[in-house]
Amino acid sequence: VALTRRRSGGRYVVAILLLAALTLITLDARGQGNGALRSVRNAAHSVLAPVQSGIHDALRPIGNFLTGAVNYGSLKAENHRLQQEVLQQEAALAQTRYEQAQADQVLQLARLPFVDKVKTVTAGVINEPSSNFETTITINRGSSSGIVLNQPVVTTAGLAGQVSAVSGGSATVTLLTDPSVVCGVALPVGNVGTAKGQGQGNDLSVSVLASNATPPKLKVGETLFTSAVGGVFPAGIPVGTVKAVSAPSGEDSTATVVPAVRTGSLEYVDVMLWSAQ
Amino acid sequence: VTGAMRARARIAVLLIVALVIETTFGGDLRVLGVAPDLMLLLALSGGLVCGPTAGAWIGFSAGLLADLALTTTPLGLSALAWCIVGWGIGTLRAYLLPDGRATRPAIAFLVTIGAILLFLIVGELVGQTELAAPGRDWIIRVVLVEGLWNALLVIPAVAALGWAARGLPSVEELGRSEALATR
Repeated sequence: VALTRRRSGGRYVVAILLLAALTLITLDARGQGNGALRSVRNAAHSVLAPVQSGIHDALRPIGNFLTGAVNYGSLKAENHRLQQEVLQQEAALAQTRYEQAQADQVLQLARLPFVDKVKTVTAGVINEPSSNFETTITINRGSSSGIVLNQPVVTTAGLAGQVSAVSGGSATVTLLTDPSVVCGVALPVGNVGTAKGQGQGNDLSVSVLASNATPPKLKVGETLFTSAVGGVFPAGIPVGTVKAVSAPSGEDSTATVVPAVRTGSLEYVDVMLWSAQ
Repeated sequence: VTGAMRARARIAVLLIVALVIETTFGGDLRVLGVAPDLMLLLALSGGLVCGPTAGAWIGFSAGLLADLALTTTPLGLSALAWCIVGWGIGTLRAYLLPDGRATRPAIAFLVTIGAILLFLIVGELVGQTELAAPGRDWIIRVVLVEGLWNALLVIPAVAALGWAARGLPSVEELGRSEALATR
């Protein structure tokens, strides 16, 4: 009898726990990122952030040693690849400077919304993504520095992601490669498209959202920039470089884009204090 | 303060320590881009050590803590999945699975594969379609590497939970109760 009671009691406990979890999921989904549960999460992040920051700084050498031990082969290959990349970068630098000077003149003439006129807050990355199904980083600046939800996060290379949670002294940034981030991109001859993350380490997928009379002709090697359409990001931030195009000149064309920012090894980022009007 | 209360407090501390380790160093320990999931490890170890009901509690708590550290997935998703894992492995362990250090890594490997697939399926059911967006290759890699991580870490995790859970009825005691009741 005791065993039967224990068994049925156990089943009730499990049923209640499952119901509690389902209730939390429903409440969180209905809150649309602004409900009470979001506040609980932000509070948890603000408690965890200083602990993570302190431990991460203090034990960084051990972490680096473990990373090296676990990934020795890939680090060796990465080192070789980076050496090759540096050589190529040096060769391309002179050409880039000339093109940059030209581009600056064109931008000034056209009076385009210039990204670097927006105020930014520089933040250090205190935590890399620990989940295999979520591509986020934690930074050491939060609402006390003027950071609010959905602000763009950039590096010198381009768009890195978007602020997805904020507490007083820290914020969580969902990186551009996360499948939950969708970014409007400007395509040739006045078209727009959307770039969507495909998970950590994967390229972005760009699809044409709307076309004018002339369908876009995407070219491999072309750099894509953010579009102001949709009001999620300011225009003109580099998103990535076209790697492959499925249908080069059609309305339904899609492209694979290598992100401008290598999100795997970020140390510092700039949060643009920009919000959609 | 009873022994069971002290055991629950120790388990809570263990879960929080695991969360801090995971959110601090989890990203540094990636193999082939895949990080270990200590909260899932504790959920399945909870089922192995403490049986179905306590396993469900430990799984739920571990999942809820993991959810608090995440951002894009809804709060409660990991709690739901890991609660089922803790209960399921606890039930199998109490009435079906053999005990022994040699079998634990294999059990942890297989349970991890099932648990991650369960997480993705539950996520899909509650509208988190982007969880599977990285594609089949990535999911297979995550499942296999995380499975190997958990196969490697299950022995120390079971030892730590065994120490923390002193004072709670063990899964062996549950099994003996079952055996006595059926005589």
